[in-house]
Amino acid sequence: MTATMSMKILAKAAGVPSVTPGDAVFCEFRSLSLIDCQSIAWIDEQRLILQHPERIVISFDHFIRDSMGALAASLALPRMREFAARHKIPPKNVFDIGRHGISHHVPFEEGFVAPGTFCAAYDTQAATMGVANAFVIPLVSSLLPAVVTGDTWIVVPEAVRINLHGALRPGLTGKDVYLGIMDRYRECTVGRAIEYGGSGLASLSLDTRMAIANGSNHLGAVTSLFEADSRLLEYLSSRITEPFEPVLPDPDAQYVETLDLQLEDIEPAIAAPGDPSYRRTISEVLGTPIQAAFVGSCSSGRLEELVLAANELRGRQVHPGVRMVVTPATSQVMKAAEASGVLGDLLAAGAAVTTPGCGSCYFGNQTPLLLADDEVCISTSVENYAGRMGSAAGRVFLANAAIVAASAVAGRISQPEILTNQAVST
Amino acid sequence: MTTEATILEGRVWKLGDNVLLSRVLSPRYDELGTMGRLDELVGHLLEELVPTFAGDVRLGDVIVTGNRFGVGKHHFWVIRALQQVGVAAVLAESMDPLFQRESIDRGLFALACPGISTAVVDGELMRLDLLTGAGHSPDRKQPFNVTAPARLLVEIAASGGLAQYTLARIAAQRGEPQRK
Repeated sequence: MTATMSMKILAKAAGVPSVTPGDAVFCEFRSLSLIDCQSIAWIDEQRLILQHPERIVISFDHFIRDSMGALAASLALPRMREFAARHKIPPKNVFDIGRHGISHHVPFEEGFVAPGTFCAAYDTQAATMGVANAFVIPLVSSLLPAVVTGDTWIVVPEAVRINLHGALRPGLTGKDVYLGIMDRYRECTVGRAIEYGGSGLASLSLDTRMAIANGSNHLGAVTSLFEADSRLLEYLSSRITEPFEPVLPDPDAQYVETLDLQLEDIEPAIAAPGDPSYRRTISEVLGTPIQAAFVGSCSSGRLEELVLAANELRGRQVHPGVRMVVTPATSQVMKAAEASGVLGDLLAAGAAVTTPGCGSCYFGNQTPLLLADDEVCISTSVENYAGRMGSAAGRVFLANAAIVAASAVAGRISQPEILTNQAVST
Repeated sequence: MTTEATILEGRVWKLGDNVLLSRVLSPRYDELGTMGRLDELVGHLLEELVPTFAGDVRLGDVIVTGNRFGVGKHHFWVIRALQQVGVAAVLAESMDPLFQRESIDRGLFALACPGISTAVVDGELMRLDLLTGAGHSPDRKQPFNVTAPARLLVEIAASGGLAQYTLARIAAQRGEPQRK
């Protein structure tokens, strides 16, 4: 046996004994997650019936501005509620206001993504749910056919193995890891699945693993998935009631590349405006004046990042020339942030905390951050293309939550205390 | 699906390795797409890499590129724009999986055909049978072979995209005759 985790999951989902990289097959998914603002008209125009409505999950997250027309939240939310009811999607699968959050975080929190399964989501960052030892891909134009049939096509990818070693230094996040992988290995990852394991895996929180997997499509990968360990299985034990089978690669699994990543070697990552691959060191951008700062998005809206920002902000104030917006990824994250006092710390420092979801990441959405011409933002979010957070004449730097928070206090891109102290101590 | 639907005949526009999707069409023009101003949008295709492309591209032309094509920003106006100007296919040594998925689902051949980037010359006519990988350069009277892409992907794109393919699949499951 020489199967990777990806090959095992896809063979099972395709209902065949085995698959080989390059095979094109239809795979049945265990769950398919929809956002609040995709068009669903085709299904009704064609009078199609959902073959597996129980596999569909909907979570409200984008809250798109009215200027985006038919996808605007005011139209999209009622339409999705009506669609779910009419097509008999179970009410427990619909994460409406109060239970809402990012559509590829909520299904993991709520037990819709089981180890060893094939899942999908509309959002391009769907691979985030690879944290669950699942093979998860994004579907865009594939979405509505998949909603109807309960399956979708895939070309079985070759896989790259990344063995993690050691532990991250304090103040570094999953975002730093995947941008670090982009620097080192991007030529290896395009068109392949990335499978993570190794002795360093145990040191990583689930939040960090989600952020690493979130970087999958910026690495050009089909998806990313982690081996299951006790931390994952304990988290899922109260969330998934049906039996499931985690997968491990065969001992002689045929990876096209096997890479070793020492987590201590990961450095704080910065992306310059225009593309996440425009990589900079923090020293190259220190002192750049900013007018906006954002902590949130599917890349960095988990409790771990909120804590990192709060630790930097506690006892300080956001610079008067900066508006800082924080958006927890999900309602569960927001409740945990409230219970732990993190929310209070953020508010006391002058940050605006918005309802859970994608926050300011997607064309600004309905948040108070929206960039004006020539404004500069430092953000933990996923993408920094022109226009991504408002005006196309605005500029967005990407960085982790500690750097964003330190910069929000200083009014210019700054080194956070947690990283400065390390530099002193070493 | 007719045989002709899976045979490409067109002029080659060759690009290199590592072409980011944002270099094919900058996301700064997304808004033109959102506003339905496609005629303006297509004028910006490849504007930095191949400034003559938008003015000279013709129906049936084929973009041939190297390794790792199409990584990065997943804004799909670029696919709509390529279809609008008549590009018949994007063929690469390897490509970003989400760009490929989205293109196939919208009826644009976006296929990895290892060997293609060395088999053809920029600006020449090429003929390629996507089901077999057998190709021909009429200008140079030169036959060539590339690795044929996965048949399922060719069939989905040739049927017009995944929506149309799925309707036919559902009809077949119900035992209905295929729509012409």
